[in-house]
Amino acid sequence: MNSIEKINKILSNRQILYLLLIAVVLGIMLHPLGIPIGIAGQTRDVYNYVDKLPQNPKILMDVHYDPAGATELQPMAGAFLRQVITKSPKIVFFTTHNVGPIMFERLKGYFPDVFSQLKYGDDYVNLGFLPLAEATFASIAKGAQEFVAKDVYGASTADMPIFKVADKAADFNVVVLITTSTDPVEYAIRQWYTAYKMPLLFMVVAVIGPSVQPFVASAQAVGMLSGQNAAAQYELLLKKPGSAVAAVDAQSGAHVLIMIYIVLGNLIYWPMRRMSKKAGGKTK
Amino acid sequence: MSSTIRRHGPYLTITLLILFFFVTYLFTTPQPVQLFGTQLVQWASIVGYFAILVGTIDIVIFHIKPLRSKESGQWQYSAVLLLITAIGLVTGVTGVLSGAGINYQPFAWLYNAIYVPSNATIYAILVFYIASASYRAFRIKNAQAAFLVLVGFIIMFADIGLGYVIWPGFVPLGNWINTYPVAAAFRPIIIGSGLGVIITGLRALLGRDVYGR
Amino acid sequence: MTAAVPIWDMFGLWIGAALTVWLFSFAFKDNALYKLAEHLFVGIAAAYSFTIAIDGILRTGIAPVQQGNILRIFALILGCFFFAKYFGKYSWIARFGPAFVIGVGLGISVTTAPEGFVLAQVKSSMLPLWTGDLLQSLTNILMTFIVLGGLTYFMFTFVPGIRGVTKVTKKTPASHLYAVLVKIGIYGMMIGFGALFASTIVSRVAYLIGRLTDLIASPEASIVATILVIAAIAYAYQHEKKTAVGKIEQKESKKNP
Repeated sequence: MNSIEKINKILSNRQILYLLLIAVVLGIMLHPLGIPIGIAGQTRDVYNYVDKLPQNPKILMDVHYDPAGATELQPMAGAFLRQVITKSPKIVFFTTHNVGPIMFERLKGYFPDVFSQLKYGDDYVNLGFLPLAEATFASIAKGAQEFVAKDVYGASTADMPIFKVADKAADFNVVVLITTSTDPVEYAIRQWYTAYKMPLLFMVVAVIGPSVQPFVASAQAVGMLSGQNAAAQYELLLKKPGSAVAAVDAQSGAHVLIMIYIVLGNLIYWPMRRMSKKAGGKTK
Repeated sequence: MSSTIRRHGPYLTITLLILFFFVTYLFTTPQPVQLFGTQLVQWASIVGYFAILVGTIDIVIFHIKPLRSKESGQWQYSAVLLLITAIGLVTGVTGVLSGAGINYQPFAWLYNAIYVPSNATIYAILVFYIASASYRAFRIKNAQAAFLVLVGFIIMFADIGLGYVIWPGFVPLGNWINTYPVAAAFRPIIIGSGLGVIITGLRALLGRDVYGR
Repeated sequence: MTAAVPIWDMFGLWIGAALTVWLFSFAFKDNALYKLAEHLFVGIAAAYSFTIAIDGILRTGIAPVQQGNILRIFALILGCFFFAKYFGKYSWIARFGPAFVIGVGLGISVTTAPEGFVLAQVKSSMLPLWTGDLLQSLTNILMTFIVLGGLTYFMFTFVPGIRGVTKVTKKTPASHLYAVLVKIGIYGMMIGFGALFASTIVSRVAYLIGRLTDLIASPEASIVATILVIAAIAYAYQHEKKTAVGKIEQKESKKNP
């Protein structure tokens, strides 16, 4: 076995790669590097849009993420709430993800500075889990209070003052979708934007960012934050760095490791292909 | 008659509902008709909850079989699953019926201790596979693959702080690529999916749902 | 009584750390602790989903009926149709539940999809090819050709001058234009998939960072769980070796009875 084959054998060993990945990410998390972060135009657009919302904005928020997506989306959601709280908003929360109720409670726990300024029933309400279906989005748009008789805590929504000002589609200034999948995005585009022209703001995990981009480009959405780096940029714009900023260094480390593997993989591929052609065999 | 209802009833239901929503969308209809449409939409959302109940029952039935047959290497795990499901159901339903909902302390402990970390980890395992797939699959064999890797690297540098340190231009370049060419690249897919929705609806309307028969 | 709460919280943290490490171990080797963690997860997920669904039915189905919205009973009846699948003779009734959901879903999506998905996207693809600003104009030209190329590649699969799959009957200006557009479309797709790949890595690494953050918060639990899973993986390897050796011995004893 020559040196190229030996290197290929080491690099092809998946366990070594997995251990390296864990070691790099863990190492950087324990010893941060303090790498600076540049602000992308798309993040700045979202910040400026929220900044220009009127006083007492009525906001509809779908907390559609699971514990995995919380690493990217919770900082975004928290940063958004921290920015908008200065305008004394009215926020109707609901979730179309079955783990959403847990995530909402965690959101409350991580950002007590926001929720301590809001009075439940007057300034915000949590309608709890509603099944992920296009019909749910259509029902909420037609009237959230009439659709959901009791909130997630069992209180009757009929008596809540918030629904006097924030109930049907036309009442809301912006709809914020915090989501790990494209289904709520598609339903929202069809049932909220197309039907009622409600302004949509998307906060998504990076993996679905490119798929959602066309809706932002066609102005069907007012803006989008995609991924942990956007969350970090948003936190910096608010001058309140949090978990997303803390994670950027570890992201850099993992990315560099993967890029090195891709480059090495290609550097090894061509000599090995030539060797196997000479030997008359097939390349792996 | 009963075999007609059994075989064609569901398709007729779908057809009538689609027709109803077509009419209410395209024409001005009286207020009671619009209110009925709102009711139908609300019912469809509520019916979704029952699908979730059926899913849970199916999981339980699926795991009772290996337990009964003492299937080697599986029955112990099925027993654990059924035990934890039973505990979860008892605490959860108790919490719901008592009015505490999912914040009922024993139930909250169970899902915070078991569900939340497991759910997150199941997705986190994917990082290993994407890392090993990056090494194995990204072979620059032609110009198109080279272009894909080049764009991928530019966006990766734009996404990480290190890219900003190496060259600050990566951030606006990555932002431009995401905002314009990427949006244009995925646009045909969105148009295609929109046409797919229309075709599926028309197929169901005309009773030509090939998946059903 | 107050002292019991922190103990339960700590116990919960230990279980969370253990499940995290045991589930991660699947990337290295399937083992007994991974299977245990997986089944615990599926079990609690099933129980949680059931609970949240019951809660939803009470809040959006039964509570409105109690408040006077009698029509919601029909939603509950339609939902109960799902359970008919467990009664063999009446299982045909179960198809009406999904049929209702599909019918409403398709009805409201088909009416809004043309405008929301097709027309809006086509409209925003019609960009001015010259705006006065060179960079914006080049961007618009690039976007227009990428969209046209992508549509040509995916949808306009009738190829001018080509019969069947590859038989070239006649090279016309239309077939040349088609080939150029398809090429642009493919490169456009490469841009999209390159961005998708990079974005996927960001997401997956973020998931890993989230889990490691929780493990760092419970170092003792993580270390103990890691030691246990290393033992489980070692046992799994040994068991595999023994089974393989046993199978070889069985084959040989059959050959030489």
